[in-house]
Amino acid sequence: MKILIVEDDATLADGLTRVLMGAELRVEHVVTGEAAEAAFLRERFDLIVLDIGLPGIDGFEVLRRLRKRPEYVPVLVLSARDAIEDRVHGLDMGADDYLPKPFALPELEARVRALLRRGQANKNPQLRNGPLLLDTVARRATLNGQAIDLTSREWSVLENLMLRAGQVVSKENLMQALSNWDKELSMNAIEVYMSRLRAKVESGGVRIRTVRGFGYLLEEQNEPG
Amino acid sequence: MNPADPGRPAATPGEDPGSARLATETVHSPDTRPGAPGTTAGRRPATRVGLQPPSLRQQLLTWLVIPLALLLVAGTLFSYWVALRSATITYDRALLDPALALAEHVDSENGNTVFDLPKVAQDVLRIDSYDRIYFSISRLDGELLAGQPEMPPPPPVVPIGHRMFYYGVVNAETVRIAALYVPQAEGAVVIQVAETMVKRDRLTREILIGETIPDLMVATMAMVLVWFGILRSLAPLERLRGEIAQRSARDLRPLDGSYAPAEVRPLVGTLNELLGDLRDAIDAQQRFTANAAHQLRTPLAGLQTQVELALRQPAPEPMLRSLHQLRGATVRAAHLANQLLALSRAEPGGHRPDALRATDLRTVAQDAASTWVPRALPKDLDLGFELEPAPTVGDTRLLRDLLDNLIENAIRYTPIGGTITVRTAVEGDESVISVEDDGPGIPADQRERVFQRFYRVPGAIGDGSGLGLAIVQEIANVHRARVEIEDGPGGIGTRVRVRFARKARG
Repeated sequence: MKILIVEDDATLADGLTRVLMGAELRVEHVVTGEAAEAAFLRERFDLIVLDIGLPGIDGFEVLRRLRKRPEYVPVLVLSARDAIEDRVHGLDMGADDYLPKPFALPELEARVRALLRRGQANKNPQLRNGPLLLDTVARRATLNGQAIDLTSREWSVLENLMLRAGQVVSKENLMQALSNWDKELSMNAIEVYMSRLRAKVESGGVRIRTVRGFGYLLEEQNEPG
Repeated sequence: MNPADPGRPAATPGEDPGSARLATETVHSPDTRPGAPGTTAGRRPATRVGLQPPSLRQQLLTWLVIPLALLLVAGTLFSYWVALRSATITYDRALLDPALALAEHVDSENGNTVFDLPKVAQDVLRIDSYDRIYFSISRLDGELLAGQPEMPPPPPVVPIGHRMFYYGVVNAETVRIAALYVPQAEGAVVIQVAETMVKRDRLTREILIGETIPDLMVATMAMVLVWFGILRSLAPLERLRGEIAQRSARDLRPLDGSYAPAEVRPLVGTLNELLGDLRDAIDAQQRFTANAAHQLRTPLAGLQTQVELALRQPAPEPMLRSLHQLRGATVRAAHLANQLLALSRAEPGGHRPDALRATDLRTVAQDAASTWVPRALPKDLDLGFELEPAPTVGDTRLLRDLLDNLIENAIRYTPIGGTITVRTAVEGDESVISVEDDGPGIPADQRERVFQRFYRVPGAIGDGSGLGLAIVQEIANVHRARVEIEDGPGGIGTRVRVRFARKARG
C-alpha cells in the first residue's frame, strides 16, 4: 500500500514518513499542492495525508481537485488552523477524517489504520483486530483461529466496529448500517445485539467498550493475541 | 480581582429571589468586569444628571416657549390697546352728542348766560341702559348753571377744538367725562357730560377675552404640535441611542442609520466608520492569531512527532529519560499554545458577534465524543454521554472550546478507572451543558479562584495550564451564560454546569 504525505514542514514530514513507513507501506512525500496533484494524477495512492496550509494551492484546493477524479482515495486532513472550521470545511469537501496539529502519534496511527482498512475493505476481504479475523467475502469470523457463529445482524455490527477499531461508533451509525435490511430497529435492539456479540467475542480477549449514551468502541489490537 | 464569580447565587442568602437573580445576572454579564470597555455604558447617564448640558428637547422647548409667551403677551397687549382705543373714541363721540344737544340750549340773554331746557328733557338725556349719566353746565370759574352739582369742576383752560375727554370721579365712581366749551359773550360755558364705566369696562373685558383666548389657543396648539414634532424628530435619535446602548463591546456591526434624519446621518456615518476601523483592526488581529496558531502548531507537531518517534527506538536510560521529559514539555507547550489561542478567540474582539447562531449543545457534545473517548481510554475512564436536545444561540467553535476544556479537565484530574459524564438538557428557560466526574473535586473555597488565569488548586496533581476554566468563563461571558461549580453526584468529585439561555437574550 502506498501513502502520499503532503506537508511543507520538513521536521513533521520526516517524522510522519518514518512513522508510517513499514513492511507493507510505502510513503511518498511532497511539499506543495501542485506536486501533490501531479502525484495523484500519476499514480493511485491508498491514502493521502494532507496538510491544509501549503505554499501555492492549499490543501482544500488539492482536495477539491482530487474529488473531481473518478477514483476514490481516502484523505486524512491535518491542519494547524482553528480546528472546527477547518474540520467542517474539510469534511464538507470530502475529507474522510481530520486531525488538528499537534497530535499524539498513536492517534495519528489509529486514524491512518482506520482509513486504510476502510479503503481496503473492497480489495482485501480480511479484517483483523488482535485475535479476531473477519473474512468479508466468505462471511466467516474466527477468534484465535476458531470459527464463531454470528447472525447477520451481529456480523454487520461487528464489521462496522472493526472498520473503525479504536474509534467511537455511534448507535446512530450502527442503526443506519443495520437499517438497510431492517427498518424498524430500535436503540434497545442494538444493545441486545451488542450483548450477544460481546458474549461471543470477549472471551477471546477482544474488548468492546460502551460509550455511555453514545455508542461503542472496539479496542484496537495490533498483534494477534 | 476575580473577574466573575460563578456559582454566586448560592452565596447571597437572605435576599429575595428577584434581587438574587438580578445580582446573578449582573455578576455574569460580560460587561461588568472592572476595566472592561463599555463597562457602564448603559448606566452612565444616571450618574451624570445635572452636569450634562440640557437635553435637545429642553433646549428646543426653551427656545420656543419663552419667545412664544412673550410674543403672545405683547400681541395681546397691542391688540387690546388698539381695540380699546377705537372703542374709547367711539364711545367718547357718543358721549359728546348729549353735550352738543345741551349746547343748543345755552343762550345769552341780557348779558347773562342762560340754560333753557325743561327738566323732562334733561332727564331724557340722562337715560342710558347701562351707565349713569351726569351733566353739568358751568362757567369757567366753576359756577354751576345747571346739572348735577356732584360733577367735578371743569378744567379752567379752553382746549384746542373746544372739547376734551378725561376721567373723573362722581359719587365715588370713575367716570368718563366729555367737556364741550361753548363761547359766549359773557365768557365760555363748559358743558360736561359724564358716564360711568360699565359699558366701557364691559367692552374692555370682551375685547380682552376675545383677543386673548384665541391667542392662547393658538399658542397652546403650537406648543403641543411642537412638542410632538420634537418627540417625533428625536425618536430616531432615541432609537439610535437604544441601538448603541444595548450593544456589547464585542458587537461592531455597522449601525442601521436608515431611519436617521439627514442631520444625524453624518453622525451615524462617522460612528460606522469608527466601527469599521475597529473591525478591521480586529480582523487583522484575528488573522495574526490564526497565522500565529499555524506557525506555532506545525513546528510543535513536528517536535512531538520526532520525540515520540525517538522514544520508540532503543536508547540508553539517561537518553530515554530526557526524551520522556522532552515529550512532556512538548505536549504541555502544545497544550498551552492551544489554550492561549482559545482564550484569545473568546476574548472581546477575538471573535465575531455574528458568529452567534441557533445551535444545539447536544450537537456540540456529540461532535466532541469521537475526539475525547479515545483519549479517555489510556486512563481507563468511563466517559459517558447523556444528551438531550438543548437549543441555544451560540458560536459553535467557542462552545466546542468550552466543552473541550471541561472534558479535558475532567480527564486530567479524574483518577484511573473513574467516571465522567457529559450531559445536555433543557431546564426551564435554560439549556444546560454539564460535565461531572468522580475525581478529587474542587474545595468550596477554591471554586471562585479557579476561574483566574493560570490559577491552579494547591496540591492538584497533573500538569494543567491553569487556563481551562478561565477559557470556560470567557466563553460563558460571550454567551451571557453562567458557570456553576458544585460537588459531583453523592458529594464526590466535581460537576461544572454552564447555563445558557434557550433563546438569544435581548
